[in-house]
Amino acid sequence: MSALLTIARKDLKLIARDRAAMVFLVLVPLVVVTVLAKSLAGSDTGSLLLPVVNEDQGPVAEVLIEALSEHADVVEVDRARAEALVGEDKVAPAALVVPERTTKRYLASRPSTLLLLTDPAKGAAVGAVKAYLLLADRRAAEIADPLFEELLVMEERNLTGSRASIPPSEQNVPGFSIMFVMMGVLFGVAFGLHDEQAWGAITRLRTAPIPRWSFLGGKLLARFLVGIVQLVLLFVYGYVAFDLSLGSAPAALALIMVAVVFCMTGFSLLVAAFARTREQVIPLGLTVVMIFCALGGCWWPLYHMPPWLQQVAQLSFATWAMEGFHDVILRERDLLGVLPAIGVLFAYGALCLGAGARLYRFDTA
Amino acid sequence: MKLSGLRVLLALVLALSQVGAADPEAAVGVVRETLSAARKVADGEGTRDEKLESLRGVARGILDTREMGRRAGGESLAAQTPEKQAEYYELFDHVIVRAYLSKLLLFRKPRFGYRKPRLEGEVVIVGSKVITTKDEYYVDYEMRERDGRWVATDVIVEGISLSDNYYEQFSSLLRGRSFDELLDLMRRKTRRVREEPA
Repeated sequence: MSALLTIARKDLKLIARDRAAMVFLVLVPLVVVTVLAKSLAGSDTGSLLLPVVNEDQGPVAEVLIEALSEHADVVEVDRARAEALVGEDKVAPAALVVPERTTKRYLASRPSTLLLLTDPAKGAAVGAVKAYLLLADRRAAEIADPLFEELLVMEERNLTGSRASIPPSEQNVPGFSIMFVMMGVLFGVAFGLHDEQAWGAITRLRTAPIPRWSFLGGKLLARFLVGIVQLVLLFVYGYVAFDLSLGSAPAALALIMVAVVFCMTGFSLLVAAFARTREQVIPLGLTVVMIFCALGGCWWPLYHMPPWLQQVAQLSFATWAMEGFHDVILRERDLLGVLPAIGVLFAYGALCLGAGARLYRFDTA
Repeated sequence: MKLSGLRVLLALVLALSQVGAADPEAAVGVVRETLSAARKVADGEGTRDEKLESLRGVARGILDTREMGRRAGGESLAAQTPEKQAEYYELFDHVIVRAYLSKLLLFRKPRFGYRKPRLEGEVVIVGSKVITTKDEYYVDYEMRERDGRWVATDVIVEGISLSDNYYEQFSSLLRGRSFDELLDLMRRKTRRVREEPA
């Protein structure tokens, strides 16, 4: 019994000695729980942006806008701006066009077709807009002629691709693929470097005529290639098992994959540089993986989160990775269309790579 | 002299033809009064339901819902029993008043304008318009004098006659369904309207 207590006391001393690991042990759950709670609270904030093109300029459009304003942030814009907010800027899941003469047709009990321009990549938010429109239509129906129904007919037009709806697997497969590849690359790089130090391989290499960058570069290249293979396999599995669409531009998809794994590799070096001991790798690694994935929209769509958190999420490369995959898979964009996301990912990765290489200390074992 | 006699005769004939003819300005006055009363009710004190009840009264004061119902029902209505016709007229009264008010209530604090009335035989077409800051919406009243007072036997909103609109709707319905089914539909719709006022 005394031997058991002695061993436990010794282990506790060892654990307490690694203060950083202790901090992560407490910090990880706190930070992750906070991020999750804030992210999931976002769906009730009513912060959905809904551009409305009021070509009618009559009381029917006014009633609709008033009713929609109770649920969403309605902004009156022209058609070009509405299309840009949904299609190019991707800040609104849908835009409503109330055509000219809607009020006049309504007064004459003639149906009008309202146009809903959507971004199906934001499927749940588009669903919410449709629900708000139903409520608004009910409001309009309250003052309508009782024998004439369906005076406001809805026509939906996908502004960003050819499909009207997106299955949940097309959000989940890329999201969880990013998470698992990120875990693989990050832990692989961090553990690999710490193990090399522990085994004295780095000390031996420092005496050899091998430049520091080629040692780091070699290790990172191996992990990068493993990450690429892992990501490709996960997407192929998604394609076969879940009918995941791979978009219409294979080159764009391939380049996005390369950019994502490159970014992960650079980021992993930075994390490895921060983790002073092998024990610190797990809590630190788990913290960043969970936070980056939660913020980046890997587990749920980004637009579910409150606007301020969506802004914070821009700091996570997972956000750009998901955006890139969504652009290719859901919005069917070509290489030119995903270049901004690819550019950000390469820049992010290069920055992390530079900072990681500078911060990583070859002499700490 | 002969020519002068003919002129006098012609003048007499013309004068006699005007006896009993409609006075367009009187019809315009009735429409003005109705819209002004509706505006007063809408802007006045009272709950939404109280206002609606008052507005129904105002609408019934000008609309000849029986004549409109007769036109909308067409030949199918004429072929029905007096009991069914009576029920139809009662239900149609609710429907058409609601329809008229729904058009009127679409506008908040409306301004009304009037065009020169048009005389078409015994009928006076009183052209009114609802003026908003961005547009104008035309509502014409087909006015007839009945028992010494002017009533609207049709309302033409943006060029579409309410009576004709219902005639088309009912005819299309009666092509696939019976008159009893039409009555049933009207019963259900008006019940819903009565349960959920406007």
